[in-house]
Amino acid sequence: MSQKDFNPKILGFLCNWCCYAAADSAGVSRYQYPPNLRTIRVMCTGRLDPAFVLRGFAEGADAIFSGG
Amino acid sequence: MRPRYIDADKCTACGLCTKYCPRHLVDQYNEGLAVTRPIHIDYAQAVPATYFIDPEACLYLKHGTCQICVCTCQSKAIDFSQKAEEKELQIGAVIMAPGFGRIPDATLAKYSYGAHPDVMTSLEFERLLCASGPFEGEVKCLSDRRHPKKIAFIQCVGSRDLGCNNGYCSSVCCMYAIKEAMVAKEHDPEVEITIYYMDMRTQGKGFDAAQKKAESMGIKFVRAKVADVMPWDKNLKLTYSTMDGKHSFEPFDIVVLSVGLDAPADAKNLGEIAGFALNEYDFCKTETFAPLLTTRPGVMVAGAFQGPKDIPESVTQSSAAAGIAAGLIAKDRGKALVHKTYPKEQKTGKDEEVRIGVFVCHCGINIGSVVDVPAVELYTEGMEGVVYHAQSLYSCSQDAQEVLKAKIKEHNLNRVVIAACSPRTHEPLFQETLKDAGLNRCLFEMVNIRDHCSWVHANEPAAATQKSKDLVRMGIAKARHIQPLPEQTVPVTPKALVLGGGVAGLTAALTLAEQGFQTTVVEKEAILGGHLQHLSFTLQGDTVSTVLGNLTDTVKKNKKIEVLTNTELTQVNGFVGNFSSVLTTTKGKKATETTLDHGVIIIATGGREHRPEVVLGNPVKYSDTILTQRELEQRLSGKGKNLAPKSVVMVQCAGSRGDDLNYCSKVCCNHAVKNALKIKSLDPASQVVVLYRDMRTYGFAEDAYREAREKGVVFIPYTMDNKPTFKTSGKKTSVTFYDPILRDEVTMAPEVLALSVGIVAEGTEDISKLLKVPVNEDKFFLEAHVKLRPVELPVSGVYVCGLAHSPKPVEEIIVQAQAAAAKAAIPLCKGFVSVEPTISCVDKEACIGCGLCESLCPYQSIRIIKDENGKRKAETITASCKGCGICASHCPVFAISMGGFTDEQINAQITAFGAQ
Amino acid sequence: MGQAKDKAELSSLSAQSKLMPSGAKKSGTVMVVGGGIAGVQAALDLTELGYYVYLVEKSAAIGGAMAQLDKTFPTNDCSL
Repeated sequence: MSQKDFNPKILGFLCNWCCYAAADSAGVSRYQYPPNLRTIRVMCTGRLDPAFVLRGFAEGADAIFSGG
Repeated sequence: MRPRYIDADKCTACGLCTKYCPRHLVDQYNEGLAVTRPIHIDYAQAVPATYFIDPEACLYLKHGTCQICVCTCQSKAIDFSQKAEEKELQIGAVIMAPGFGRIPDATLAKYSYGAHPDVMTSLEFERLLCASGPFEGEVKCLSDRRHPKKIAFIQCVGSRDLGCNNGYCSSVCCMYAIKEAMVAKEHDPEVEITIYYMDMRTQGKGFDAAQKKAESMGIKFVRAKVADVMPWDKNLKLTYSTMDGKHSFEPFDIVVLSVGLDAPADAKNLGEIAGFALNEYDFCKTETFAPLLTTRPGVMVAGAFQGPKDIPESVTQSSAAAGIAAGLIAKDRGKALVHKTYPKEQKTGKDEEVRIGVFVCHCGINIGSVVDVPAVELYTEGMEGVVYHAQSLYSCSQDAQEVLKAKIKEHNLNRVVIAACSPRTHEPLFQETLKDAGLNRCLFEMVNIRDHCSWVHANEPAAATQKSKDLVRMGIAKARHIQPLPEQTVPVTPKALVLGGGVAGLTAALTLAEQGFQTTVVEKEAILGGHLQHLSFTLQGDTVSTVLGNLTDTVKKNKKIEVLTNTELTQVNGFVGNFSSVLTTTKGKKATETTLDHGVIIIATGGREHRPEVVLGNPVKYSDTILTQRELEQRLSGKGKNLAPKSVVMVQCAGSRGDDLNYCSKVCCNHAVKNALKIKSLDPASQVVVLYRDMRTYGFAEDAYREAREKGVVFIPYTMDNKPTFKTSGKKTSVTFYDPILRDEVTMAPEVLALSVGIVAEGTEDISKLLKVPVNEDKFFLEAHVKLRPVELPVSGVYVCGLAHSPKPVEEIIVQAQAAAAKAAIPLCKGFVSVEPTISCVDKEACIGCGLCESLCPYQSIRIIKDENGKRKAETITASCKGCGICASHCPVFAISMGGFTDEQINAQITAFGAQ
Repeated sequence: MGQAKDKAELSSLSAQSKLMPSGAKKSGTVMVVGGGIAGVQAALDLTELGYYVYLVEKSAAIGGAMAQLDKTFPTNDCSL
């Protein structure tokens, strides 16, 4: 598979106070980025149970992103 | 009230009008470095988030033509019929916070400002650095858009300058210059930056450390006076003279002028309208011991208008002014408040059928032009639990709320999913509508298909639509598991405990008592007054003992205040609103314990004079001839004859700023100038030499520094590479130092050697352990947020003021104490602490009492208790839980659930992520 | 900021304004002149302390000079 065809599914956990807010600002500033990320908002990445990460992979995620 | 020509209730801040507006306008928000249109909003996060029309630039308002915007606006918000209105208001108190003004361009002209585009003010440079600025955060020369290789900062432009009648120091420029230099260096590590300064005045808490960091990043600091800046080929030529009288010049690509803070332009007008006096620089006139009162009763001042100051000090003053105002009209508290009422909440049981309504928003064209909104809406058809779905043009508009309410009733919805913008900005609005419709506000989930989708994938409509569908599916999956959460409140004991009976503690107690709250002041010494008892006079000429006497008398007479001397806090239990403390009073050998229930704690335990035994590498034995500044002050205010020594050498930073203590004690420079002036007034022939590193007489104290020089006090700088040396033989002490003007070593044998020794924290570590609040590396208490919550500590219900926070002069201590009291009064006057429902909750059955959560919680908000069977169980302290979820993610038996973010809900989202 | 918006009004101060001593009863309201960080903070605290606030700002948005800053010293936090 060439680099070009690789279209990963990424699951992101975003902290409400920083990364989720940053993603909002990216929108406000109209920054363009690839549409591969699906996000789940949490109040803090401290909420991130390792089990969530494993379940994410089990559900077919190619990568897990944690932003906090 | 001036019209904005746009109906704020209808405007959705979509920005279409600005796109179509045909006229250009210089963008003031970007310091004139960019263009905008007459119809615009300054920046995306502006409050109110409503566009406005500049009547001076609008073609219709000026010339009666155009009106293009009216038909482009899809929400019909533009209203040219708005007129200016006048209102008459009945008010109980006024707080003046008009901010600061600009240094006039004429003052900047000698640096070629206005003549060369690459000479700019610090505010213009700030906009250049900003990602939302004119070059999207790229630093470029304005002349030819090249990237600069060398940047110079010139300090004290429009400050400490009698040429423009601004004799004062603006107190913020050294800090922002360091900040901007560091940010510029982060943008481009290759850029060379030099800061030309007279004194680096980084006296605030943690500020010296930032300067050291800047030095380690390679930013150069040069003590010099800049004569002028001239265009030179493509560059700029900066001519400067150093202390030793040498003149030099250097080329730069950009020269940044660190402009000071002027009085606000309309200060005089404001003073006339409101009837209060200004000082000689047109800032508001105030007194040392009443720093926020204007000359008119009932009118308070806060922020830079009271005197140039930075953000934390402004924030502190504002809270303090609010506290004073609250005290003045305490009888009317709550009378004017408008309380909202809601219908009774319908019960949503666990076993009830889930009925989800999905609303997909177009947000005008913001979402709809990229994402296929009808397709997303249709996609939800037939999903488990979804009984209703619809689109809306603007789901946040007022009429959309009415539709939402009607649909909830009509379809008996008990979960609402809105796919629109960010829950960070709009969740409260929709939750309010849910409450109006009789639903629990937590039965709501928001999906962000604008900020996280249409806006960031504008060129990939298919992918953006797919992403929207996925996100909506995940949102609905979560919504199926949402449960109503109770609105929780915790009652508050309306009493305060103040630790410390110095000026900070007494002022805080008085501010609380004036608002009507019972306050207990605990002082470990036998008498009240603290550190201030050792001072006699102030730089402004007040007699300290009179003021302090009045303060202690007022406190003692106040029926709401209980004073306990010889008493210390020995134990604290509880949390915000419900503390229970044990106070131990020692009388002779007898110690008695009393228990006090209270809602809040203010820490005002103060600090003490530092007495280093080695100063700048010289061993010191304090005596009649080697004194600290405090001891010198006591001698100068004594009753005997010949109070003033014939000759004095003062040594600044004796023990501070890396000598022994790491930080700057902020008060010593003023103290030295104060004593020097006193000596000169007692005996003009007396010889006073001050050896310093940076004279930090910030704000209006600069006037006193100048006066001291004019009266013949000699100020000579030293560096840490070339420190003064002391030699004691018998009663005589001689001081040898390098004089940069003579370029030679000088030895003096003064009658008195006065050491400016600084201030250290006292007893903060004990209190830190008792209350579980953090101290910084210098042992001062660490506030919750350095900028925006300067008197609150990370533990809810605990506040700090005075020297326990950091060294500072008495007027700042008073303000800080008033601010701490104002903040502490908030839970007291509410009578309860309300808690967001998104907090942790322990399943007592499942909990095994391991205590992992208690040890991990960053807010001390979960604790282990013994249940009725004597078993260890975790328990959330709802009043102080911040909802971060660290406890839940670490619990080995999954006994902790987070309101609104349960394992069940997040797992459902993850599963829905996989199910395509 | 949400809480203040419910209870505070935003208006501009006209040049002809006068502050007159009033014989009428003090009404539990406070006027804050200036919508920069200082004015906003004072208004927020006053509403929390139980008073109705008129927040008066002459420009179209609150925020003042702080809204123009990119980062803040010394932590370099974003200022917006």
